[in-house]
Amino acid sequence: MRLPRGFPGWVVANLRMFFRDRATLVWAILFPIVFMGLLGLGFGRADPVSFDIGVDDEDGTLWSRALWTTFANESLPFDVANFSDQDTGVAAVKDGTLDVLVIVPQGFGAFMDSQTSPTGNRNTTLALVVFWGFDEQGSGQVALQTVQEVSDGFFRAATNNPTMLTIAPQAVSAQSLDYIDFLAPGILAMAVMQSGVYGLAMFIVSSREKRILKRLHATPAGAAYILMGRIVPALLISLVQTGLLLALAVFAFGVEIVGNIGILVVAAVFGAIVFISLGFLVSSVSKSVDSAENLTGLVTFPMFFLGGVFIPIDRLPEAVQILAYMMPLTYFSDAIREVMVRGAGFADIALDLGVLAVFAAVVFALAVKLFRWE
Amino acid sequence: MDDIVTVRNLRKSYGDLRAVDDISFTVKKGEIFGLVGPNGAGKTTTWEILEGLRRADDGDLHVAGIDVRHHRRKLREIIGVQLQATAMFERLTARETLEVFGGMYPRSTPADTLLNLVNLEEKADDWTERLSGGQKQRLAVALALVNDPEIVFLDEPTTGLDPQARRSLWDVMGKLRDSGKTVMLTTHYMEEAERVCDRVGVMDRGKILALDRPAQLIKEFEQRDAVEFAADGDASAFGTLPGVDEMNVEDGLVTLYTRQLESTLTAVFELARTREMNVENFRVRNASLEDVFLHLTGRRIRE
Repeated sequence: MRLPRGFPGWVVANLRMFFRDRATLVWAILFPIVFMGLLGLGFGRADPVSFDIGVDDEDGTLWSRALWTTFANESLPFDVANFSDQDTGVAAVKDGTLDVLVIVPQGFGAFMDSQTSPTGNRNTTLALVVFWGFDEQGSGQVALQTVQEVSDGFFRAATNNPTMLTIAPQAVSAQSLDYIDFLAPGILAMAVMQSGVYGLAMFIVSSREKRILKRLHATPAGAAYILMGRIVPALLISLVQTGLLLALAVFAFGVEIVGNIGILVVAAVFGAIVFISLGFLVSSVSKSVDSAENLTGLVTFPMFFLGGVFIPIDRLPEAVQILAYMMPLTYFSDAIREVMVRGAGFADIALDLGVLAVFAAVVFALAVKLFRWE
Repeated sequence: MDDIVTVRNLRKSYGDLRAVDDISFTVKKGEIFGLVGPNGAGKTTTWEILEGLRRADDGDLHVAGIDVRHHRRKLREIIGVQLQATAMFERLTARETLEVFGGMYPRSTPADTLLNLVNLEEKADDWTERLSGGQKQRLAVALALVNDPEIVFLDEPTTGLDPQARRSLWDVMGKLRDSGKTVMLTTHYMEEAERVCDRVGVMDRGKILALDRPAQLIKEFEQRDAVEFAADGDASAFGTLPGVDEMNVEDGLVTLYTRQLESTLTAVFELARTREMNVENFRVRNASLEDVFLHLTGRRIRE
């Protein structure tokens, strides 16, 4: 590549062309924002007016039943469900179905008997193990405190003594609670995909069709200069897009960015590179703007539905899951979601990033091999 | 003067089609050199090979001392290129377009100088999509000059333009020659080749049939008038009329070349009357390069 004297100017010119093209602007920036906005309003979060609480009653005495019926009292903000074993309950906390799981241990009845009998030993304490969901919204924590207050109240009412019933909290890292928390990272990933594939493919194919590429070829600049001049702005635009969508998710829909913003940006760059490469490949195998448009649709549409944007991959039928795991968007949306909603670090998304890098390298190499000026 | 372009035995085939069939020519520094011929004659292919955009099958090609087949990048730095029917980036202004392309060369001429040269100053800040056909072509020519090239390749720069726009581009080419640049021009307008070019090659079906100064080429047609008309039926009898040196018949269109216009005209009408032939679209004109082409190929150039 020749010393790129005019390269910054070429990058700026491409940015200008992008912002002067309303169709692309709408497609790349406005569409994802409106999309997220509408879905956010549709599936937005309700304020947590009640908590989902699970009770695993291992004691099965009158006392234990009295405790959990206290939780189920209508005046309390609890929806109570009973669990017969601890593992199922903990899993429910993990996937966000429950805010907390209260284990009422064997011996609870005996403990209460002893606390309420005038001759009983009142110096022993008993701990209720409470699994609480640690998530970005903090509803598990609020539920935990409420459980503590209710159980204190229960003990005092039964014994007229200060509570000897303690809570042993066990934090469980929990999945997101609302659909918008799942959706926001997915839409962000989708937007990066759409603008990456569409933006580069259309630029190259329409320039080729209009023979502008051929004219550029007649300069000493070379393919790397010409293409990088478009890829760099495409990357910048992807980052702007990411920023706008993040802002919308955070400020309009209260999605909390749990992870490190820097890691998020790195993940976004990986994704942008993959989809820009894919757009490049589409342009290399398309003869006309029409065929490039069709091919772009053919490539992005399945990912749109199966790439983990709207539906978690593990909810898909198994055969379809195999298909989903062949799609780069699956890894990209997962990486973004893991960082954004679950606070994943680099180590947690290394596999995703690795797959994306390999995908980008293969696709880019293929695109370069098939590239034509005219 | 030195030869700045030498082409020896250039060949290029696409499958069975010999697009360029063993042509040789040289271009002198500072002249306007033209190739004239119909579409598909091989002009564009020749230019694109010399611009380093296509590979020749065979031939010895030098442009400004650079071996075209081996030093394409160096070549691209010193030549200016206007391609046939190229569009511009629609959403860049004329000035931005020149600046972006200028940046791709080691050195470049300021955009405003170029806009001034092609009389596009007042369109400098308009998006190229708002330029007329003639303005776009002038911008394309300005673009070919952005690296201050020694040699400028223009491929049918005036095709589809109205006469005024065409003349304005001829002026630009004249200015280029005056500033010492070599201009390589293709056209299928005979009049343009005659008016603009210092030397012109007549090209058809991949071959250069004649190459000389336009005046020299039409010399043998000098002092002759061309009589043209459409006639139905057998036209062969017209060829032996008084004063007729040469006749050409193509698709019912008869062209007679004569040094005795009056007697030929009288005889034509006489013959048409006795044979009851219809003679239409009658036209008398001075012989031109068009007649040279007709003479060489037996065909007319159609636009």
